[in-house]
Amino acid sequence: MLNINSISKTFNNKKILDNFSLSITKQGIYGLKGESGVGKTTLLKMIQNLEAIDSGTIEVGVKTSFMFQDFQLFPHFTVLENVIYASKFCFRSSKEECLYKAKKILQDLDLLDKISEYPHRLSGGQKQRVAFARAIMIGAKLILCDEPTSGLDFESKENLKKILFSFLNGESRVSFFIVSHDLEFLFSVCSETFLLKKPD
Amino acid sequence: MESIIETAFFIGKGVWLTLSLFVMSFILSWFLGSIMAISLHYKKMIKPIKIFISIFRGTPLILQLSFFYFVIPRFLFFRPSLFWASSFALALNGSAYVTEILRSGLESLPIGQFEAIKSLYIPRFYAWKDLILPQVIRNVFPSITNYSVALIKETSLISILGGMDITRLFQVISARDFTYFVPLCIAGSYYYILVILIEFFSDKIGKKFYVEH
Amino acid sequence: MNVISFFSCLVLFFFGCSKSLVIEESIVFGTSADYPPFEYVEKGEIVGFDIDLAKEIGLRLKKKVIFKNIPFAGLLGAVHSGVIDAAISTLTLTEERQLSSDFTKTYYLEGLSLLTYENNIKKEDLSDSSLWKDHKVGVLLGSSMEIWMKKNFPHIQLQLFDMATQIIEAINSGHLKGGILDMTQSSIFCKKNKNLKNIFLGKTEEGYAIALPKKSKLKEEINKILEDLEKEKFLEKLSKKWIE
Repeated sequence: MLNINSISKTFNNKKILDNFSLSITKQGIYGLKGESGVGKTTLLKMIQNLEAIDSGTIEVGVKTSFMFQDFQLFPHFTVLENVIYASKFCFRSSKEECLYKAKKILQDLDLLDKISEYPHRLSGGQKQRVAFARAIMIGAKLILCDEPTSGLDFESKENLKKILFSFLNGESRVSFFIVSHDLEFLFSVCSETFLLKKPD
Repeated sequence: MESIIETAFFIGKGVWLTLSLFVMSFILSWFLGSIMAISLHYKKMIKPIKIFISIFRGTPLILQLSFFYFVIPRFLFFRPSLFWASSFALALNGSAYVTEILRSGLESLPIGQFEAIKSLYIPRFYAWKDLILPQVIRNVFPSITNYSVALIKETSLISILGGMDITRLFQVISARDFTYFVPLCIAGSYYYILVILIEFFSDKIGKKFYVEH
Repeated sequence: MNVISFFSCLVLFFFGCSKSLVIEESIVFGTSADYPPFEYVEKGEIVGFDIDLAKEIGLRLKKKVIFKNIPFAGLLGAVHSGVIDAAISTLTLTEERQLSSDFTKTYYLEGLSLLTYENNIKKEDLSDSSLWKDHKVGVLLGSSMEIWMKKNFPHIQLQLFDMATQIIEAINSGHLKGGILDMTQSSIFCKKNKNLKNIFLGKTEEGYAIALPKKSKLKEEINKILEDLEKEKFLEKLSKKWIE
């Protein structure tokens, strides 16, 4: 599913990543831990092609999407519009099919009553769920999550764990690759966790 | 000697030309300015665009207008009418400012929005049309209002070459009746009313954005 | 007491004398200095036929002549409001103009001409209204040519310009089918532009005169001077110097 081969990256003359490799073959929830500033977010962005790779290769076998730490919803779109918009360019489904699929996902995420709201009226947890829905809607099979637990309270974190498992084991069969400082969280959801060390 | 009402009606006929020139220049300058701002964002054609902006911001609008009206027909087999020559001059001149407005608006947009667009595989054209430009425009809206107010006053330039707008009709009636003060005030009032209308509608549109946010 | 009053009288007397020496009487002429050879700017100074005439008139009135450069369409308004004492600027004496200003007698009779690009229209074409649906002719805003065109060829659309050179450019670039200027001006333009041709349309019945405010005291004085200048062939000499 995901092969990272000897990735190196230099940023402002500082070497951030030095010949790092990892491999993911099975579906599941995976974690990436490491010290602050070691380059976890950068690595995640490189998988999604949001940052350039200096040397090495990344092979991705499935469609990926990115979950931002600050969610990055489109502020001038409603929840429904945020979820549906990108999927228009991926599939040839009719308007009705799109709408049905979106509503189902939002229902699973307990957001059906917020369908016509704008992002600025949502809580952090709700915004995160909209971001998930958006990624699921375009058919991503590997969702890269950048610090998903930051700013969440205990209840929301438990909720998040439930969501991750339900999407992994449910119809969509979505895998997750999570970058986090929260070791307890990674311990409870990830089947395997990788460590990113500072280059010497 | 015409009464004030007759003078007002006479000068008022120029409102049509002033407004149509304003609308045409506005649309053209935004179209051209958007293209240039997007090119600059993708770092394409930076030098030509910068030269273009430098020339059109660095020379007076009067001279640009005379150039389009008198010089272009001599060298290109294309003779724009006074309306189109003025529209082009105002549009090209304005686009230099529009590009700047949009460029600063783009810079204030969080880079995460561009990253989100990329991670959702949204095609560039639609991303700009539905996601980026609408947000940028909401951000720079006060600058757009300022630009519009300046533009509607700049349309008076067409009077220099005989275009019968508000300003020219004021000059015509002034030459005819040898009065200056009354027609001048009337002409000024027409422009003032147009500016008030622009600000009124901007306010309404701006409030609509605010409600959404 | 007597000595003091004598000296104060002396002081007042000298003061009174010197006052009239310091403050020369002046006459302000308005002119639109963009119309060679009658009035134009050369090396920073306003010169021309009208300028020489105005200077001579000032000399004979024993007044200092000051010139103010004003756009043509604003001249009569300036006379009316008192900004200038008189306007001399190839102003044709017309009935309409006499409603708001007084005029001296005429000092020059001018011809009207049609200026075209390579003779692309003939004099007769002016009367043919079918030709003028989509074409325009250029004239100066507020000029007697504008009035003349409206009276004689009302079916022809006019484009009103502020400067004669703009009319020339518009003809050269094809925006206008022709322009109506006075004969002197258009002859000079034709000399400078080989492609332009001018056609004589007729002599104006009215000639150029100097505009004055209504009920101006100067009118009679200047008229007398103009009569003298004509007798002395001064106007002929000016004509030879500037126009031929």
